Amino acid sequence: MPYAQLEMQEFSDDPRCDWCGLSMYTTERKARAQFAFLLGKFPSARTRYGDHLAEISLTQHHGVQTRPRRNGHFTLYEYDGIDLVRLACLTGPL
Amino acid sequence: MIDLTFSGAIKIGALPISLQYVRTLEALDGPLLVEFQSKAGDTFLYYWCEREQDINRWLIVRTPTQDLARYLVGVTNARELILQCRDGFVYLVDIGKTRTPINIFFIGVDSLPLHYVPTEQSYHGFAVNIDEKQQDVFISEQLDYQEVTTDYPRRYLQAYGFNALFGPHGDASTLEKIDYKLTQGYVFNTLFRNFRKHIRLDKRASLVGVGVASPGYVRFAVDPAVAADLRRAVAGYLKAVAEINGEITLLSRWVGGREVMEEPAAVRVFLGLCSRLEVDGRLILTRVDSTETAIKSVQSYLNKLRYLADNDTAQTAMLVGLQRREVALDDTDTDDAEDLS
Repeated sequence: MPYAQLEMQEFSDDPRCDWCGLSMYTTERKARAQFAFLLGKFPSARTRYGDHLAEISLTQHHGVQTRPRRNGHFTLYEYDGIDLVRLACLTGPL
Repeated sequence: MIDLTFSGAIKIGALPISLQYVRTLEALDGPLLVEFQSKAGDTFLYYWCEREQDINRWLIVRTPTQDLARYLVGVTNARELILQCRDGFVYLVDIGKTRTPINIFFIGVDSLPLHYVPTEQSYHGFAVNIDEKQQDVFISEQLDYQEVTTDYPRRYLQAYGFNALFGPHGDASTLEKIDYKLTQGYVFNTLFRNFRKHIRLDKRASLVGVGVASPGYVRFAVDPAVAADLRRAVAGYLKAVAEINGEITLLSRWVGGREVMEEPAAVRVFLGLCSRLEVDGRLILTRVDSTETAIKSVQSYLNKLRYLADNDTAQTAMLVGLQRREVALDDTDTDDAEDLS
């Protein structure tokens, strides 16, 4: 769920558009590498970001996305009514 | 479940300090590291710890500006920022849907739960809001007082000024033709002072803070775009130092009559060098009385760039926000939305 929808905006002085999107990675390898980095810095990251990885084959009908960065990260802004959970396929624990 | 009863923590009724939001330093689907400032001007960091349903727990640690600068340039990591903080204690604050804290604890860093303490690899990443209207420079113990207070700021501001006129976001429309002989150091100083006069007021940089403690910091008020251009120029210089030095040596020899080359050929080398340095070579040529003067001006700019780059490499003065290496969670690229197709 996008950060903005969680209504956890402790620091809403500086809202950002990408808090209304979903963070995704282009490959499983890149997602795992980023999560490992995240865990090193925020050891309880699983309590915030979850503990499993899922794969989704996105198409242009699902929404708009940002250009992937070198680390594979991009933000997806899904179209209204799109249920991404139904499309997700669990790949394993993080 | 967030453990509210771990040993060593003392529950308090309210934070004894009033903090004002400054900027979000790191974020991934929401803030992770946030800078605040107290009324007394002290910097405090909110470091995200863990979450339970609607409650996020944050660690608040007082972090002197020079320590934050050390972290932002990659000299130290988050683990050291917390475990070696000057106060020896931090606050833990639970924040729910509203901003009102639910619980506040006072705790010595030695008593922090292990799962709140970052690892040795916790270097700066997820960068956001680096292009602020300030450019911080981390200063190590090796740089002496004179360099911190005078030499470094002067050269930074000179390089910045050149970029503000001739860089990618430059504007030299009010700069008249330079028609005096560039010979010795003070003439070049005059030249750069002249450059500064023609920078648009809203793009001018100035020195706004110096911390001469060991380690220390220097802070400039800047235009974000010009400051970013200068950081890119320093990074570009470091990446192509051999080629750049080769080209400027060739041009200097030509100016000194020690290299035989037709002027159009020298201009081509000059334009190639300028392109590499991301400054507008053609514009520079229109603002000077000769190709020689243009070359000398760029050479002088290059000396400033080299000074900034050498200090950064030696870790004696490091520009916050300079791209030195790939960070694992690089969040600094432009984030333009586009169709999935």
